[in-house]
Amino acid sequence: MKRNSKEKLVNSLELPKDLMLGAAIVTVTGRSEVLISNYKGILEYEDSFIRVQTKNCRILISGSHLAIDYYTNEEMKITGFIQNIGYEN
Amino acid sequence: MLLSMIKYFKGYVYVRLTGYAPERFLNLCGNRDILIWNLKPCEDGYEFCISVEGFRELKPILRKTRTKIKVLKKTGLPFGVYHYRKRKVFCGGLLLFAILLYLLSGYVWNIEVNGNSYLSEETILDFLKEENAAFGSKIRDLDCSSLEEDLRSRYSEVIWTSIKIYGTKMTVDIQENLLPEEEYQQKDDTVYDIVAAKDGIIKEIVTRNGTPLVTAGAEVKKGDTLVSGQVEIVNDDGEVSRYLYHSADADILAEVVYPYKDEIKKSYVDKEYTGEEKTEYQLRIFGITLKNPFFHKNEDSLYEIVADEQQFHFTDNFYLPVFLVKQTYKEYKNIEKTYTKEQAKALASKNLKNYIKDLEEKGIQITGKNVMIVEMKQSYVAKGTIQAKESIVSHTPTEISEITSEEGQPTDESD
Repeated sequence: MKRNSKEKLVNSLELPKDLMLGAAIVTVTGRSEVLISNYKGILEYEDSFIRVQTKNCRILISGSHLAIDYYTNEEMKITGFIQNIGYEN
Repeated sequence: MLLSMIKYFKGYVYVRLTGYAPERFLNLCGNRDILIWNLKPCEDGYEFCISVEGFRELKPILRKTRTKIKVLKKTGLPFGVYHYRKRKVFCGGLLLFAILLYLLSGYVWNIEVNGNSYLSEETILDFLKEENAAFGSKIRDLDCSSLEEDLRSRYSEVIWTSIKIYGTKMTVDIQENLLPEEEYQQKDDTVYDIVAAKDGIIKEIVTRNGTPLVTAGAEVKKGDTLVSGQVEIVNDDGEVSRYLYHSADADILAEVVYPYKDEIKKSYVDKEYTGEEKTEYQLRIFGITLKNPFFHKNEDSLYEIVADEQQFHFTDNFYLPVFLVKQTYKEYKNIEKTYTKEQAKALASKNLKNYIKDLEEKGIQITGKNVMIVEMKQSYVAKGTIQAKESIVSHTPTEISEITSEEGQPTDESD
């Protein structure tokens, strides 16, 4: 309930959700580029999948020839052939 | 592009990470703001690029995550500099080269002259030399617009100039007044007669201005007046009341005879090449010629020398004062020979043809020729005449007679 009320507040005040709720932003360009920001860290990384931990959930990106172009505290850029983007709790 | 340049100048290493918790290692790097790029998984860990600064901060993280790192490749300027740290002369040379290039780029090394037909290129280069704007002068000291003005005031033929400097090349563009000189002679007030420029027989005469004094068929000598600029105005009594002066203008064609004589000596010296050829390369820097010390040629033999010069330049406009001179020495011997009659005949007719061609190029119409070849003791002589039809117009100022138009002015309203 607490989370719900916070969400409602953020919604009604039109505050940026990534800052207030710690929501991850995933920007997908075509089929070969994914930009993830507002995350906590990498959990697993292999050629065929990358699992990224965010505040609320995990994001699983699977495909082939996955590589991380750059990796900083704020954002990371993944390139390769992407087949699936999924969310896990 | 810019980012990769920055990366290159700061230097980075390509490393392989192996061990217990490489993912944790990556996250810790993220937390400490250490940039990692081109991250790829490999068999037992990861491979990635990391900046030199970041690499130095990795020690505690490595200990914490119990991972090992191995440098695979070093890229960037800092490593290159480190590698060449003992090559001081090389660095000095590089610096000297840069300084020389910079200093030399402040001078004019090439001059191009366009659009000149009356003025020769040498004339313009001499003019530039007098104005201290020749080869090797400092570009900063040159004032193109004042040079243009000087050039225009010095040479009246030049009606427009543009002097530009691109790089180390000066371009002088010129527009000359292409009207023939006669046309502007007539602009002044002097009145001209047409006189004969050569002896001849008048064939055609068409007068546009002035009084013709000869008719077709007349024989004239050089200097005879053909068309006078003086026009008589006759009054009712048939007396000359006054003269009008107007420059004479006419087309006059006359038959002119050119004497022709050509002597061909029976014996002549001919060059015979021995086939020996030597090539010497020289370098000319600032007018100082560096010769190849290992080059030798026979002092006794005769050589025909062909020199080929090339100026060094970067791009089209950046010319350096360095020339490569290639000299080819062709050895030859002088051999005395004599012409046979046929050879002499052929040569004589060739000479005659060239002579006629020269005449025709001047606009002279050849109507006939009469040339004979006679064999003398030492030579063959071609002798004769060439008949031609050509314009014999030349101009001299008209003599002004005493009765001028003002004196003979008929009084108005005398009726």
